[in-house]
Amino acid sequence: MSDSNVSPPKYREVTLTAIIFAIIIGIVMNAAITYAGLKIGFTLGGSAIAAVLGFGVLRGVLRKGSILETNIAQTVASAINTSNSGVIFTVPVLLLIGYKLTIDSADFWLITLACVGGAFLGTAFIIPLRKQMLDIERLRFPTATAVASILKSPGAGSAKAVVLLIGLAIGALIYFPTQFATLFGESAGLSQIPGIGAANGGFLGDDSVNVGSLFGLPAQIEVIFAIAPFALGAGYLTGRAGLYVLAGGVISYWILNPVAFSMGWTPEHLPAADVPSYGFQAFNRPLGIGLLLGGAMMGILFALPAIKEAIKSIGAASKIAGGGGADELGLKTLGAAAIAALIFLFLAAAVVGNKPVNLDDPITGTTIEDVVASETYEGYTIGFESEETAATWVDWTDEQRLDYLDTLNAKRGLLASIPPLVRAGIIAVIGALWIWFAGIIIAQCTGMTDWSPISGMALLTVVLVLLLAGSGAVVGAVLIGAALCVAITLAADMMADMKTGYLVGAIPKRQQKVELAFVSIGPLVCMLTVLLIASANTQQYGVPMGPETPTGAPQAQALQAVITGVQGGEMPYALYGFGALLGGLLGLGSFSGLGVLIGLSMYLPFIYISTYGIGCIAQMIVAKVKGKNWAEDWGVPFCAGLIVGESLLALSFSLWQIIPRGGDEEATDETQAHVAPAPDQVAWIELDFQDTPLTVVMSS
Amino acid sequence: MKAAASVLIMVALVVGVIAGPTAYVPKLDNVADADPPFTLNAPSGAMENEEGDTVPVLDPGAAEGDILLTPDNVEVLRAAGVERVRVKEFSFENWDYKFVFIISAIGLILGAMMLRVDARKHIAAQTAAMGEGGTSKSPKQLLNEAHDRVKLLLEKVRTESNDELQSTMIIAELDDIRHEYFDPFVEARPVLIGSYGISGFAQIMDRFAGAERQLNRAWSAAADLALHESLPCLEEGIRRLEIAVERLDA
Repeated sequence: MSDSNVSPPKYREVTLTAIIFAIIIGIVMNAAITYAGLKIGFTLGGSAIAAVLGFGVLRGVLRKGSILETNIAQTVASAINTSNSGVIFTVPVLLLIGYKLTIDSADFWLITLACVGGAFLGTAFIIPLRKQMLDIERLRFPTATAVASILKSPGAGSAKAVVLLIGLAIGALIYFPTQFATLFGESAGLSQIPGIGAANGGFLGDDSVNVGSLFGLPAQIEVIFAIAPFALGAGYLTGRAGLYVLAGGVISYWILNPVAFSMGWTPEHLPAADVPSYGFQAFNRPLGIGLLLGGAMMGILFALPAIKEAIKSIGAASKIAGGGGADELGLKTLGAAAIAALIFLFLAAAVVGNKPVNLDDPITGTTIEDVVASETYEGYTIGFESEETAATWVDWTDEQRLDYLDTLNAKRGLLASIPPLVRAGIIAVIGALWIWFAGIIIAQCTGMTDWSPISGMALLTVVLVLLLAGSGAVVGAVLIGAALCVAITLAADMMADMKTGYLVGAIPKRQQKVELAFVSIGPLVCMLTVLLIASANTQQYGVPMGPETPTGAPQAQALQAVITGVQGGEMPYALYGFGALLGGLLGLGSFSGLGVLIGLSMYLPFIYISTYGIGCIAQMIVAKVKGKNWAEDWGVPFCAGLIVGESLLALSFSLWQIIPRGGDEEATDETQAHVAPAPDQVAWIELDFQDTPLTVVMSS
Repeated sequence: MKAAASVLIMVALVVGVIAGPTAYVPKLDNVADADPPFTLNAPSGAMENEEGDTVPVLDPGAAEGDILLTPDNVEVLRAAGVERVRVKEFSFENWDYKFVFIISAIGLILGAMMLRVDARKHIAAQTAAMGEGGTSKSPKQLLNEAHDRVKLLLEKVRTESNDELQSTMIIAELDDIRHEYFDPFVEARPVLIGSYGISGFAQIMDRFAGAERQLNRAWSAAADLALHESLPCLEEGIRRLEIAVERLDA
C-alpha cells in the first residue's frame, strides 16, 4: 500500500448521493410498476434494476460509487418499490366492492397508515432472523446472489462482466417477443404465428410453449413451459434444491389433477383442458398452502435453537467477542419499531372496525351518503341515514336483523361478543404475530427458491380476520391484509437485501437503518398512485377500478373472489389442515423445510415452475460436466444477466404503458381484455428477484 | 436405505395428496340421506342444452342461494349418472378415502424415521473420514488452513507497494480461499450439527459468518481499490476466524 501523509477518503457506503438516487429510482419504479400491476397483473421488484442503474449512475456517470454504496442504493430503491405488490393485491378490493377512497377521506389515510405500519413491522420483525436465515441456515436467495454478482462485477474481471452482459442480452431477446401481444395488440403475439401459434392450433402461446400439445398429451395434463428467462435463471441459481419445487408442481399438475379427472372428482361437464384451472382452485391451492404452512411450522420448530442463538447473539453483542451481533441493530430498536407498528395497526383496526358494515340503509335500502346514526349488532356496526331508520332498526326482531345481516353475508365472528376496542387490540396483536410468522415463511421460501407465496399468505390473512371479526368485516380484513402483504413483501425484500449485503461485505446494521428510514415512502407512493388512477378512472369510466377500466386489478379481483367464497362457506378448511399435516410430516425427515418447497409449487401455476425446473436441471448438468466451481463462477453472472435482462425490459414496458399516447385507447382495452384473466382463474406468484420481487399474475 | 426412504416418502405423499381432496368429494350415495343435507359446491352432472352445449345438471354458480342435496336433487343427479359430488361440508364419516390418507401419513412418518437413521450413519461415516488420516479435511482443519492463508495473504500484500497489484492479489486469493475452504466448511453442516448439536452449530456459524463477511468486505474494498478499508477487514477477518476456531475447540 502506498505510504501517504494524507488520510485516505472514507470508504463509501451510506452516502447522500446513494440515498437520493435510490429514492428517485424507487419512487419512479413504484409508480410505474403499480400502474402496470393494476393493469396487467404483474409487478417486479427493484433490486436487480437498481443495482444495474446504480452501477451506471454512481460508478459510471458520477465516477465515485463503490460496490457497497451501490448496494445501499439498491437496498433503499427496492424497499421503496417492493411495497406495491402488497398494496395492489389488496387495497383495490375495497374499490371493487364499492368503497370510495379520496385524498381527504379518513379511510384512505388509515389504510395508508396500516400499510406503513405493515412496512415497519415486516422490516423490523425480520431483522432478528437475519442471523438464523443467512449466517446459520445460509439460505441461497438466488436473485440476491445474482444481484451480488452484478455488484461485484468490477472486481470479478472483464470476462465475467462480458458473461453478465451476454446473459442480459439473451434474457432481453428471449423476453421481448413474449410482449408483442401486450405492446402491439393481440394479433402481433407469438400465438398468432401460422402453423405453430396456439391461435392456429399450434403449441406456441404468447409467452409459453405447450409441450403437452406438441406431443399430443391429454389436455388435463398440463405440460407448459413459460418463455421466461428470469425463471430459468432463478432455477439455475437455486440448483438441486429446486427439484423439490418441481416435484410439487409435478404432483399437482401431472398426477393429482389427471387422477381427479379420471376418477370423476371434477364436474362431469368440465372439458379436459379446464381441469388444471379447476384443480388449482379446488385441490391444489388449499393442499399446497396447507403443506406450505405445515412445512414452515415444522421448519420453525426445528430452527428454534438456532433462532434462540441468533437472538442471544444480537442481544449479547457487546459481550461476545467476535460474534456478529454487534453488527446488527439492537433488539431495543427492533422492539420500539414493532411497538410503533402495533399501535398503527391497532388504530387502523379500531377505526375501520367500527365503520358500518352496510353501504345502504337497512330500512329504506337507499345508499347512505352520510351516516347519521349507528347501532351495534353481532359485533357489527350498522349505519343509518337518519335517526328514524335507526329507531326502526331497534324495533326489529332478532330474526329480522339476522336476515338483514345475511343479505350482507355478515356472519357472526369469533370475537363478536368482545368490546370493539378490545377486539381491535386482539386483531392487531394476532395480525402482528401472523405478520411475523408469514414474514418468516415468505423469507424462507424466497431464500430457498426465489418464489414468494404472497397470495397464499394474503388469502390466509383475510380468512383469519373474517373468522375473528365476522365475514362482514371485509374492510377490516382487507386493511389487515394490506398491512400484512406489505409487511411480508418487505420482510422478504429485507432478507434478500441482507443476503446481497452479506456477499459484498456490507454491515447489516447500516442496511437495516436505511431500510427502516425510507421504507415508509413506498406505501405512500403506491397508495397515492392507486388514488390517482382511481380518480382518473372514475371520471372517465364511472368506476374507480375493475374490468370496465384499463386497470382491472386482477389480483384484487381474485382476492375478492376468495372473500366471496369465505362468505359463502366455500372454504375447504379441512383440506388446508390435511395439507398442513402432510407438510409437517414431510419435515420430520432430514430436511425440515421440505413441505415448504413442495407445497409452494403445488399451488403456483405450473408454467413457471416447469421453466424454473429446467434451470435447476441445467445447473446440475453444468456442475457435473464442468465442476461446481465453474458452474458457480460462470453460471451466476450469466443467470444474473438473464434476470436483469428481463427485469429491465419489463420495467421499460411498464413505463411505456403509463406514457399517454394518442389514439391507443382501443388497443389498451383490447390488451386489457387479453391479459386480465377471470378472477377465479387467477393465481399469484411473487418471485423474489434478489430482493427484487417479481410478482406475476397469470391464469392457471 | 436412503433411496428406499425417499421412495416411501414420495409414494406416501402422492397417495396423501390424492386421498385428501376426496374429503370434499364424497360418493353421492354416502351423502344422499344426510340430515341436514349437504350443500353442493361445484357444478354436477352433465347434459346437453338446446344449443347442443354440454352444461351441468345442477350448477351452484347459476343458482340463487345454495343447492342442497335434498332427496329430489339427489334423484336428479342419480338420473344423470353422477357418482360423486363436491360439497361445502367436511364429514369424516362420509370420507371414504380416510384410511388411505391415514396410511399415507404413517408412510411419511416411517420414511422420515428411516431417513434420520440413514443420516446419522452418514454423518458418522463422514466424521470418520475427516481429519487426521482421513480422506477429507475436518471443519477445524479447513478453518485453520483458511486462517493461515488469509494471514499469509495479508503479509504478502503489505510487502507490495502497487495498489492495483495488491488489489488483484486480495481478490484472487480470497476467491481461492472461498472455493477451497469456506465452501467445504459450509457443506460440512451435517457433521457439525452431529458433533455440536443445533445450538453449538449456530454459535459456530455465527462466528464463521462474521469472519466471512469481513473477508467479503475486504474483497469488495479491494475491487474498489480502497485498500485502506480492505486491509483492516482482512485483519478483522483473521481475528474472527480465530474465534470461530476457538468455538470449534470448545
